[in-house]
Amino acid sequence: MIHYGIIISGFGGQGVLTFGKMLALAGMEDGFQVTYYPSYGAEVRGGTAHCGVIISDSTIASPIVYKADVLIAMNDPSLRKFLPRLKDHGKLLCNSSLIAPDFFRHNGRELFSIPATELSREMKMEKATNMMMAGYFFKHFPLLNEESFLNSLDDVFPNITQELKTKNREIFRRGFEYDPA
Amino acid sequence: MTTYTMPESLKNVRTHYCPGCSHGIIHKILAECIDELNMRENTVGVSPVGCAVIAYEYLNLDMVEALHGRAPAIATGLKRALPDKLVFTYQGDGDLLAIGISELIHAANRGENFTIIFVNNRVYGMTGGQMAPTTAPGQKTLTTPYGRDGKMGEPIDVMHLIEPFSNVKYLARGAVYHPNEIRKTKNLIKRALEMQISGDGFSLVEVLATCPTYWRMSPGEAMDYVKDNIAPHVQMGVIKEQ
Amino acid sequence: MSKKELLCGNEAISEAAIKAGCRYYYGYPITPQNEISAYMALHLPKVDGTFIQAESEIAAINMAAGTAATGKRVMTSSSGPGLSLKQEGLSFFAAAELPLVVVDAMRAGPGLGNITPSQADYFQATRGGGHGDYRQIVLAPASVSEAAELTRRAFYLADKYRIVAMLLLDGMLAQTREPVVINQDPLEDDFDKSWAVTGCKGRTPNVVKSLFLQERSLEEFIEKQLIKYSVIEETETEAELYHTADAEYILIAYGTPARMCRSVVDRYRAKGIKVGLLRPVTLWPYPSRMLRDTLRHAKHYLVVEWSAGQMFEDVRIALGYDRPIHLLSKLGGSLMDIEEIDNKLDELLINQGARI
Repeated sequence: MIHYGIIISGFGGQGVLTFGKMLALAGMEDGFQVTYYPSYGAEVRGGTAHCGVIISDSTIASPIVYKADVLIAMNDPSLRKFLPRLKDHGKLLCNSSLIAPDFFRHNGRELFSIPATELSREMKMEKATNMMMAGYFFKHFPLLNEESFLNSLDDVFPNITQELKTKNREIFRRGFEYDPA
Repeated sequence: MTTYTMPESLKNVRTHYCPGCSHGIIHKILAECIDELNMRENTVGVSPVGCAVIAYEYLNLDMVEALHGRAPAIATGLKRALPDKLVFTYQGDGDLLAIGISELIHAANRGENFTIIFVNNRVYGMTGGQMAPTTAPGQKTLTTPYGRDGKMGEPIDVMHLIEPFSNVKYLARGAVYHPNEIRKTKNLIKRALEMQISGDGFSLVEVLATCPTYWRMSPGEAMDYVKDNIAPHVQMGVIKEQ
Repeated sequence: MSKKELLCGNEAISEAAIKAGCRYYYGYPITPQNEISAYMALHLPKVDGTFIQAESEIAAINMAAGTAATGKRVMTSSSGPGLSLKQEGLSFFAAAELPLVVVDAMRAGPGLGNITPSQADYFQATRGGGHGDYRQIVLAPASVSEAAELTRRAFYLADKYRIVAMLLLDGMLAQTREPVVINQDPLEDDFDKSWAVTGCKGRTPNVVKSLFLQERSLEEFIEKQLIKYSVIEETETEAELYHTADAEYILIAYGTPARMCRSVVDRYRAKGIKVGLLRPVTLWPYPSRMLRDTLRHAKHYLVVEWSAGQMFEDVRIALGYDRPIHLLSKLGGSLMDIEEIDNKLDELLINQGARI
């Protein structure tokens, strides 16, 4: 049985919600049951933002990710906030650009970290930090089809230019190929 | 020879209005305008809360009865759904300028293409003669037994309120204390309706009206009061036309 | 062409409304239903529809009344505090017998409360939050797909009975995205609308009104409404019965908590324990009879509700004191956890076992 609960968290403006929506779209495209539930409300730009995505091969009872199989933390406060909701054997994906090394108290959980902000800044598109994280995520969690994910750019950004699409794909690729060693 | 006839837009029934009330006259000239524009079968009116709430018993037209002050919102929903029909609201001072002031201002600002007939007699009639937003300073009412003082605000002039909106296309004020005034007021109403028919936008005609009952006057005294004490102090006729 | 889309409850309702022939939407911003007005603002102009961001909740519902009076399909939406403001309008709709679809994406109250999801508007929705003797149909979807289906149904029922049909969903369902296929077929539109105001060409004038001053006229009007309401109760009551036929323990829930309960039922059934779920789809009319039918085999009832126990009272009315009715409630829009339902049910089972 496949039932993956993923929490994506960071600050508003990092593309947290877009990332989640794209994952859900990719899951739908690949024939899974999916739900996507965003944090909504007062916090928009700069505040904390998070969403929960569930990808399952059976009916999803609740869209809430109580205990995550994967936590994607794109900044330090969100890691602190959501680490307690990561399963004991859950996997942690961190943006090490914005998370102090001394905070990697992941209590034995498998940790994957990537300096996503720096890398996307190097590629002159810091706004696409989410795509950098996504590339890295897809490398380590090959549950969904990459193309399903990348094609969903058209759904979340209906007016996206070909140029930007190519750029996003390049950043995704860079994240995918990133080797911490 | 001109024959005096009953307008088709008016039902041949006795009204519930008090002796000397202006509503009867205003209903009649409004009905005449609609007839003359040949719009009776293409009109939807909105009656207010207040003495004119059952105006649909007297006007021979399709009508909607609005809740307190909501007539401009109802008219917005009507006109948007029926852009080719003539839509008017018929509202008193409390309805338009107290509980419904928000609906008025925003309908005016959006330039909703309907016409408000605003009957201002400076007092709440149906509920028993309470202070209205247009009650004069010092005027005694059921709820200003010592006269309206500054702590109860000053009379609100609807023209000052909505004249600045560029979407407000026609504003006028008339009275009905004399046949000449009635004729003038009828022309103002007709012009407002004509502008609506040409799709110009928001229009409002205020009619200085009487309430002999709660002014504690005879019908004649009330008419004279409008002539001598109200009309001379406000701008009459067309106030804005664009 | 129907295609699968990933929509949130709010968007699915909006799209389903447009597909059901709704061309007029008036609303005022309030969380968590803002996706509806955004969707309508974007998509209604494409079908020659009208969207107005009204100056207030009150203006919005009255604009809707103006359009409804012309016989055209119209929708408005809000959340708790906004619905409170809309009540004068809903009472007017009832008295004027105007059709309307209204959405309440529930947040936690009272007062401004919290923007987090809740089911605490149950009383307001099912009892009629406005003044006077009246009823409105209340539909409670439990998934995004069902939100779309029930929107369509709401427009149908509103026209059929000249009544307000409310979609009552928790903020979570309003915000959750799920795959959905929106029904593209035109909704039947041959209802008698001879009462509508359109200009009195070739007929005596129509009047849409809520005032009944003449002696006995209001009484007679309400009597007529009561007959209509009982027809609705007879014919439109709907509930999902999930493994209830032989259930000894019956969960009762609607909306998001109901789908949580469904998974609980599955788990306990797998263990051989006779648990079932009764999920009201119509909250008014309430599926009281279906609930009473379970008395033949059920020993315990557990109401799972995202409020202090509002629907609980309808369950009590239906079942009386014949069986123990338990309540698991979640207050103030706090997160509901499936584990809590499991724990509560375990507790019941253990107590039951102890007595045996």
